[in-house]
Amino acid sequence: MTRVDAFFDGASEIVRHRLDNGLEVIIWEDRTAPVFSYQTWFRVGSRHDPPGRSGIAHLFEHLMFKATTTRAEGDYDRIMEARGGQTNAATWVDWTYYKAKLPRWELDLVAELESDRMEHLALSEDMLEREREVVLNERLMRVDDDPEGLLSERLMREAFRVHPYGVPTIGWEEDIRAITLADCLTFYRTHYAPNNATIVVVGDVRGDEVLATIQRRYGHLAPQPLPHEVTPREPEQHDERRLSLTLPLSAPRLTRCWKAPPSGSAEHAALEVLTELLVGGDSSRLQRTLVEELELATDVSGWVSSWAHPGIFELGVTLRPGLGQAEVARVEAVIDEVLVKLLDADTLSSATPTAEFDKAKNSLEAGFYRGLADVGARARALGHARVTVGEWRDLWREAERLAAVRPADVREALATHLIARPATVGVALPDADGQGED
Amino acid sequence: MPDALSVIDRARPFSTLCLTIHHGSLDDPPELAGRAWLTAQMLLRGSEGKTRQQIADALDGLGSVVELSVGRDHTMLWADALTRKRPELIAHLAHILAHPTFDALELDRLKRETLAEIVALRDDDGALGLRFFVRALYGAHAYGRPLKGNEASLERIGPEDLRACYRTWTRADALLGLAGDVDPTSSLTLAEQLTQALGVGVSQRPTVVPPALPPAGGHWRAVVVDKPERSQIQVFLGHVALVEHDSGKRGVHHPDWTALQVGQTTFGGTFTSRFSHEIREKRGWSYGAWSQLSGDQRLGTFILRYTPAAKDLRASLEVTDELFQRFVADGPSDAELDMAQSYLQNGFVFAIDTAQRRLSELLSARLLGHPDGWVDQTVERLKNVAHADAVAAVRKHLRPDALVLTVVGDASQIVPALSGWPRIGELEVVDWQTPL
Repeated sequence: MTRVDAFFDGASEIVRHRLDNGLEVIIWEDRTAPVFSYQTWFRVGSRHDPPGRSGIAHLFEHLMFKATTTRAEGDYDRIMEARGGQTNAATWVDWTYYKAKLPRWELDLVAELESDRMEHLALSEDMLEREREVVLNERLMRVDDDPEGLLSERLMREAFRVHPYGVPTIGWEEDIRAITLADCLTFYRTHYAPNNATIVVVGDVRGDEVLATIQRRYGHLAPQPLPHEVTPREPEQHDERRLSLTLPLSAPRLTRCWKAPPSGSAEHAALEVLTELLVGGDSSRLQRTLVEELELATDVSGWVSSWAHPGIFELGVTLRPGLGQAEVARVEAVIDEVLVKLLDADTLSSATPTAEFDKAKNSLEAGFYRGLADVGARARALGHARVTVGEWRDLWREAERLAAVRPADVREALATHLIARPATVGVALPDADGQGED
Repeated sequence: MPDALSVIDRARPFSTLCLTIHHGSLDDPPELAGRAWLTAQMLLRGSEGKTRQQIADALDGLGSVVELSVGRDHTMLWADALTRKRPELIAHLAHILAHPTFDALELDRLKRETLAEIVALRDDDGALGLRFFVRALYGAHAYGRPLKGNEASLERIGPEDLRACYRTWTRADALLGLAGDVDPTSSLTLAEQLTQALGVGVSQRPTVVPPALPPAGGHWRAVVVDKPERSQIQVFLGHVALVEHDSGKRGVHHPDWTALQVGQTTFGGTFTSRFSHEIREKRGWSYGAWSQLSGDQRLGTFILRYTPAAKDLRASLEVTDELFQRFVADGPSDAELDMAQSYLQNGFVFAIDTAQRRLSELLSARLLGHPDGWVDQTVERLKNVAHADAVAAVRKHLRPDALVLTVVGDASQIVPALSGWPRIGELEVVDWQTPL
């Protein structure tokens, strides 16, 4: 066991250790409430799904809640629920993680259960078939019957024609159906190795006790040779790409996305500030223009992906019910006008920050503290940073980068990533008679 | 005098406040449904000397999130702020609360926005189903009224209606909660500051008689919300409960409330409970399958919820029916009740593990009329539920023979699936674009 690095946040020291088998442990002691969060992050997400097996990282995440050689199916959930534990898991493009929140005295229990399923998972054809059905139903819920989900899936496929970010994390239906038990076992042996994982523990724990427990439960696991990742680079996008869906909808949707730098850079921080200026709160530029003044929309939103590889900056608009193609075109034109106007505005040209610029920075600072109240949210932020940026302390460095963003940085990011580059545009329109077609 | 309570956590320079006014949608005259909602939202859309834009600039400028919500009995203002910005936030909120203008043009704009949101809600199958389920469950009772109103009621509401509504807000009806980096000694002063312009005395609120229990006819009343091209069905099943007792205590005050909460948890309150196990784990029919008992001081509402593929609707409903009947007839086992009690007792800490969550629980207890110390006695109350009492509560209050069913999906698939099933009595098909 080696102490690797640490960070002092002003109140406590957060430390990262590494076991001899490569398993990392990040510990943040906080005795505000008698609970702790225990998360296991694996450096495997849907971007690692083999061709023709999209969705396997996600389906496998479901299967991790099944039996082990020492515990029957359902035991994991039964034991955790009896202790009052809150458990779940998630898969996204870069990672898969398993989370548990428990009363403070359950450290050894969770370490035992998590190490057991990391080592002794016991799957069967029957388990796979039942969970496949659950995932297919999840797909119906999140994508096929959800206009936002469907539009997002199609948009990403258009935006990323080469890079696996264009493949949905939940998987294409035919691929989900094609996944075999052998595929799952190979996936397990390949990716669920101690040297491909980081455990994050935040809350009412003692660091020395956590280390001793994890050494005892995981120390014997052998490291595995990890596959060398060869991810195809997405070629530069030279032209605008468009897709249009006709669905049984009340309100049209418009989504535009541009390619954006990966998480962990100054440019990414500048785009975070830009997001605030455009869609953060009632006073933001697009909210005020599209929702308030022109009454073309009921909602505007935006985000910049915090992914390991270059991702997207996305703006979304839900138009008012009853509007159609012509108003969608008008909204697009208004967005362009707002972006150009912002480029020349004092907010981004002035050497000293304006009230509007300060507003965006205050909002991001408040958001940082808002996100630190819950031990689970803190563990998630650390794990996410470690797996995507490669540096768990990026939680604080990101805050520092945001504080350091100047108006000129945002102007540069806007000019470079949005105005000078072609977007991928997705539109979902209501059909005339309520009968949707693709 | 307004009342106040605080939860301190100085780990971060950040805090949250919640101002509650004892006035909600049940105070709306039936023909003016949505009045309480509009009144609350208009606070952010103009005060003396400040336009909507100036208010938004000021609040967003602090980095604060300010939200106004309306429930059946309360209007709530939630706001948060960095510690160094809190004095400014309080000053802005005090002005907004003291001097709303209820400008006519701004109200028209808000009504258009609200109507658009109500229509846009149809694109979310779950939210659409919930709206129709509430309507089917409570019928013409005030609980069935939409909080935000509808096209007809919004059309009738003018600035004077909002002013009349606002005038009923009183300082004695106000409760302020603070959480985070706060000074508890200043909480009453802040409450005074925020409510300085509100009226005095206690407002007169309408007496709302809870809806009657459904007749035990053996058939389910079904509403099919016909939405084409759906491959998945949203299923809502439920009934009202705990509306009658000799003591006059109902809903969360009913003597059986905690026992029924423990009992129903064994059916669908956890991932490993009967309902989830049979629908999701064993058959893979739905991503989630759960039951819930919610309540207020007048009634409880029991709900079963899951989302099967259209092809599995009939089979899954039959399994649900059989499971639920057996559950109520036999009652939960000792092992199930041990598990549910353990789950609820050990898990309660997560309802109070941050300052804001603890504040929410304390406010909720206070607003529901529970005595001081109620939140801290939760685990003890759960522990003290005897198994026999939980079984008796399940048998007495859960009604497999009187459920209301609402499903959203393609009626051309749903109606044939349901037809001929004796469980379904009255069946109504409504178009998904029917005014909400």
